Amino acid sequence: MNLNQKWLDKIDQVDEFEREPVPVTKQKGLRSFLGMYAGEHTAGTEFVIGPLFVVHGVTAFDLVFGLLIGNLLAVMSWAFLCAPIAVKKRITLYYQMEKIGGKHLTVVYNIVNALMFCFLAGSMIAVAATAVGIPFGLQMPSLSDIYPTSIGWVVAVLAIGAVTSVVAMLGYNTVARFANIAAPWMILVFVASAIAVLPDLGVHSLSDFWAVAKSKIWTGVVMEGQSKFTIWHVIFFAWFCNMAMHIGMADMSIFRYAKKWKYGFSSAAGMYVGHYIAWLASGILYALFLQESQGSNEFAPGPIAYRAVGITGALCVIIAGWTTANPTIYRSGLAIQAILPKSKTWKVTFIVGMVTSVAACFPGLVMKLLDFVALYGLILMPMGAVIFIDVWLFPKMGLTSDYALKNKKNFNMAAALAWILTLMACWFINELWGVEIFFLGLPGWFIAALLYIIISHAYQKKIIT
Amino acid sequence: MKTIVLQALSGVGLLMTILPAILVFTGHLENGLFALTALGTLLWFVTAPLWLKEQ
Repeated sequence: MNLNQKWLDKIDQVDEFEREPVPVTKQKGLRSFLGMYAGEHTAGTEFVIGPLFVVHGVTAFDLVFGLLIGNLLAVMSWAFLCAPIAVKKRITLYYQMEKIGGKHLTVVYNIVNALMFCFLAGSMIAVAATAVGIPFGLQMPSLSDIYPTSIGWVVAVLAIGAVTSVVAMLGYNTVARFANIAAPWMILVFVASAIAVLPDLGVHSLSDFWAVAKSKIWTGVVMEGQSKFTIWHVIFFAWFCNMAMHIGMADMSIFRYAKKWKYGFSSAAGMYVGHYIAWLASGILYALFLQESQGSNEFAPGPIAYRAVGITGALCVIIAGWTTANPTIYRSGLAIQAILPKSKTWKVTFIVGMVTSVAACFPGLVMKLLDFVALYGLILMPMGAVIFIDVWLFPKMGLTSDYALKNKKNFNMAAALAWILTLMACWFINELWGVEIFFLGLPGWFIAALLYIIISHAYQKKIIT
Repeated sequence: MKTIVLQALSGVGLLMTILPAILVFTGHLENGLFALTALGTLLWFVTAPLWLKEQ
């Protein structure tokens, strides 16, 4: 048997239980989830989000306390909304959606979902490219760039995309293993980078830090052409930046492997290390860059990390981007695989990886990351509300759970209307009252839940067809 | 025994990733930050997969 055949046989054997509950023998312990979350959320996005808070003029107090509160709300969302359903059902989000919404609605949902994941993973590959491009003198993108800036940029992005896709093709175990190995080192590099540059910002002892944080790092001054962020922006962004995964239930696909629902609290490893320490650290690095470049418009995490701790920093940006892009491409592959159940997961993941790589060529994805992250969470969130109501409330209300499956329907009108009308309502709230996208998830969840109950009542009693 | 040695080396690798930065902050290290952290990184990625695989 030649090497190619062995390779194909190995990836053909990757079984991710796409259409069956995860068996007891395949369930994983708490450490797997701690490693997965710490690795996934101490990632490429952190090198972008931390600096973007500086760009949007967040003050030191607003950031430190806003992140404490917002991250706590995110952990509670994973622990009390997502993990209990994942452990109860032990199936992927996509198969659960099919049971509730029917095959046709799931196809629409999965295409939207997969596209969103592709764009997110794409932004991380772009971040990694800023580090890969250092030795080649690659022209780095700036805050106002939307389109590819050079051929070199495109080549760097496509090369990283190809490697990331191959790793994702090998499935959850490979992704979890890589994240586990890289996570502790990555976290320390974030911290080391920030500590190493503090003297250059004027911090020579711990007692200097707060004064410098307020006057030189998170000054509250907005950069030209950007909007002002308050503590409310910080709280809601920290809570909802992974809304698709906790409230939106995408991490059902991850927590279906958990022995207990309480493993949902393992998300705290990602939130308080990645979305707290790493955001603060990357903000510090960017503040130094602004100081030394006299307010340059260039926005490239690779050179910024390299300035702090050399080759280790650049490597960290690459690996951080990789550990985010990997599970995201994997999730996207699962979404498409649910549409084409007879196709091999690895083949689908490869195609998704290619789409992601093309999207990654556009630096606009990175520069508008905060808005994009908020939008993608908002678009997918209503289906999380639908699943929550369907699993917990419908049996108590005398309504039929898994309606499409039990009634052999390919399209559950109630779920579809709840999704579309919720997004329309959010759009109206945004347009009429000027509520920013970062805040729409909260009213949106209740609107989706209420709409699904009301419409399902009418739909299941055949009042509407 | 082999695992313990590997874990110790991994620990040294992590320590070398963070400690030089702390020494720079406290003013005890002026040169060598990049090289020391790179060495720590190498040590971690060479040794950690070996014992993490066993676990």
